[in-house]
Amino acid sequence: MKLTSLAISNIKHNMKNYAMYFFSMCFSVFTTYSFANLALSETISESIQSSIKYKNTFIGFGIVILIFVMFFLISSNKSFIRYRKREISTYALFGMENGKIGRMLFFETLVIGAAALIIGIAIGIFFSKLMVMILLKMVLAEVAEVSFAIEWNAILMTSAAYFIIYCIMGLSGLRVINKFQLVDLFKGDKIAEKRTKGSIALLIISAILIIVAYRLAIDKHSYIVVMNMFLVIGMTIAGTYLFFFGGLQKLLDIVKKNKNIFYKKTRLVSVSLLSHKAKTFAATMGTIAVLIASSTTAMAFGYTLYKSAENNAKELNSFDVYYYGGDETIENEIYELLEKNGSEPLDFIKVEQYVTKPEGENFPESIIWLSGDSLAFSTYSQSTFNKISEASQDSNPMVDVKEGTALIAYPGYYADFEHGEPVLKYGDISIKAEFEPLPNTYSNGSYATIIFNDKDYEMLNRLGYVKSNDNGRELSEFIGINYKNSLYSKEIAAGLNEILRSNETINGYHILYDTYIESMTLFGLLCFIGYFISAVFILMSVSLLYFKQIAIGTEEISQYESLRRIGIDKDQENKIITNRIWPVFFIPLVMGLIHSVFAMKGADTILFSNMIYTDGNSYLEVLKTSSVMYIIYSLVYFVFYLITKYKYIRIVSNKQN
Amino acid sequence: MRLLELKNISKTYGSKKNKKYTALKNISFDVESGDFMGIMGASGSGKTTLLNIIGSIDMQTSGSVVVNGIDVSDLSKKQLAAHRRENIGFIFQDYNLLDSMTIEENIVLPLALSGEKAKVIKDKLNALADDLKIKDILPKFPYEVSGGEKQRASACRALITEPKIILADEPTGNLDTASGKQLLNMLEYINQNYKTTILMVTHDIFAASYCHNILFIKDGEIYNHLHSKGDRQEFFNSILNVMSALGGTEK
Repeated sequence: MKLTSLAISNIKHNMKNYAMYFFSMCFSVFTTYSFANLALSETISESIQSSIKYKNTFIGFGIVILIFVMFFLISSNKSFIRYRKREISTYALFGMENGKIGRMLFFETLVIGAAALIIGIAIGIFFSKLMVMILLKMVLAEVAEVSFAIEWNAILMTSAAYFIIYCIMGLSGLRVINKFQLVDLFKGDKIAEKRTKGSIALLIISAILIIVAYRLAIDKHSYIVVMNMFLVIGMTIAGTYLFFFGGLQKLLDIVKKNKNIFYKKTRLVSVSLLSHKAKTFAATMGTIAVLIASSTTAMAFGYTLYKSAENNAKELNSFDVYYYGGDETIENEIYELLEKNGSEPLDFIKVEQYVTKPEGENFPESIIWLSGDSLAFSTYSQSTFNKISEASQDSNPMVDVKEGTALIAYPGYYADFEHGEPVLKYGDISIKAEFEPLPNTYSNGSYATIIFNDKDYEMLNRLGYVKSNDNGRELSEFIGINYKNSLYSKEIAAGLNEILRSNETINGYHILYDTYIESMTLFGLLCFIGYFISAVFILMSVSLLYFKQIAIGTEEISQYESLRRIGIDKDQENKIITNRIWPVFFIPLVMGLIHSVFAMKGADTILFSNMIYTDGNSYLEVLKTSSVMYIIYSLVYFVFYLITKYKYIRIVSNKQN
Repeated sequence: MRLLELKNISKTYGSKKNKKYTALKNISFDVESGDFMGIMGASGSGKTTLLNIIGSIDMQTSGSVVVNGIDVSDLSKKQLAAHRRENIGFIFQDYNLLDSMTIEENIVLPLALSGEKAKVIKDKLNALADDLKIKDILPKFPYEVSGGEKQRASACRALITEPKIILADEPTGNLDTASGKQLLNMLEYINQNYKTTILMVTHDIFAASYCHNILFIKDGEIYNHLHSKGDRQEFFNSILNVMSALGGTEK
């Protein structure tokens, strides 16, 4: 029998065992091909005409996936070899050299790999049109006709990448075989693990690392969160691994010391089995917790961004369309345009613009420009500002300015008043200044908007400090309009652009639709990639666990045989198996999810709190959208848990082979 | 008192279509409470099958096994597992200890599985381990102790549920002479002091000489039933004679 035919007959015999391995390989190939396809697709390059560099994004993330796939395949290959130890040792016993065994396994890898490559790419081609459509659907409001196309370059890129990965995999497998001693191979099933009692020091250190990282992540100052980001990630990863490398064993050891808890029916068996294998599982469980944390965070982050795209556009723009200047003809043109396209105006506001040039005192250096005298600031009376606010679609609160004080609407400002109380001065009138982190939307381009109490405003206007002209240039009016269907009508947006762009009396305008499409493209892209990567991660992580679990299952067959002889019934056996398997799956899941919840808190502080405007807590909104992703992820994970458990039961009941 | 009653036990392997193989044919005998009985026979004579049927690890094709007045074949699977755990103690040739557990955990396993309270378990363990002198190996794992120690631990596990009967399948099979002797002394001690009935399958004549009486099995049938008159050397010689007649042993 030639080596190659032996390899092929091996594959036939191991078909069932290869199934999971094969499936995850196919999915990896499918993902790689899809990313390459999306990066190269002409339909997409024609459709996405914004400045976003989506091609590089896809290629970059494609490479990230490839690197993870490589580590995953190498690691599962090792587990698989361990699972087949008995078979391999039989070859060795009959005098086959390690090199030959290695070559045979390498050949098996190549055959399986080639099949996975062909099937993965075929599935990729089959779904390529769907993928393009999904991406465009997420990224654009309207999708044009998508045609079916095969990207030969994408096929070439994918095949080349995987060929390299298979070769690296084969070499690492060869190393595993070469390290085997024949005697170890036969002891395989019974190799005693070193006693593990864990370490209280590791448990405490891991707890401290994780708690400190969490504390830093939930800091309320976004600059602190940004500054410590890498430290937090590093500490969390280190803490997670240390926990699985020593902390978990210590916890199990504490359980074992407390006989009242430990000697509780089947718990005695499942805790011993678990603690016996805890060391073997440490690296896998740690890796899985980290993968789960990163993929759920990626999913939750992308989904939250995507969900808040509409709100964010409204916050940034306040009105579906607003402009400065113009006259009634323009208003009429706009009204006609709306009517022609089956829309109608919902809100309309028109206010005069005023500016003011105060002298500032005691302002922090970071906004020292307020103390200069050359700049004019947009200014409103409290009642006018509230009128605009009411009509607008943003969530700015009504302001209440007391007599003798002024509000400076200035987004993203950190209070730092080492110079004393800031004051605005007009000759011998001084008005206390307070900062309010309001968006600076209706300021017509000035750095900040100053809002006065109606009485002060009237007084300043009378004294000539609030002016309707800036250096002799008469100021225009501010007009804001909201209309029906604003987010879904490309025609209206195009028409508005045409009306406002060509008119010389307009001093600037904004159309919500344009901002909305821009953020949809960016966030949709991030969300799409987030989902994809998470899908790859979840598949890789559960496959890792699956392989590890079944490899160890074959080593635990004798334990269950012993138990049956002592006298356990089917219920007890099932209970032992369940309690033996679920901690391996769900401790990393719970840990990963908790990491993610804290990561989302950090993301909220840095980003979402400035994007999602609610009356209450933006973090609650973030958690609400995130939990959708957490639930989906956990469900998929649970299915894999059931598959693994089923397979493990088959193995330890000796129902296969 | 009659503890165990076997009536017309037969065991055949294979279905009707295939060639049937008969392992046991119409075996009937009783075991009195407090007995130390040996079962001997050549390899393949069916002695281990018989022991497995008594221990309800295996099921007879026909006939009945009555332990302490209860017909085992009437029990459900769940009741059987409990019966095995509570009424019968096993000692196997390969020790049957779980590698993932310490000796202590292995010994208390049957009690824990039966849902006994931790306090009761600890008390029973301490008393028994003291008595059988295995206290110093309790915290060790099976792979850290010798074969003899493993087998003594396994005897201790068999005894901890205070079973009516201990079934030992070639308990000295994997042991050297010295540890074999140590184990046999221990079994004798258990039999005398705990009044536990012991059934031991063996092909080692020296081991068999510790028994009170011996059942010889040949080709699935009872060939002879030999009783000791109290002198071990004399009993040893009579066993040797039966075994020679059986043709199953070398002198």
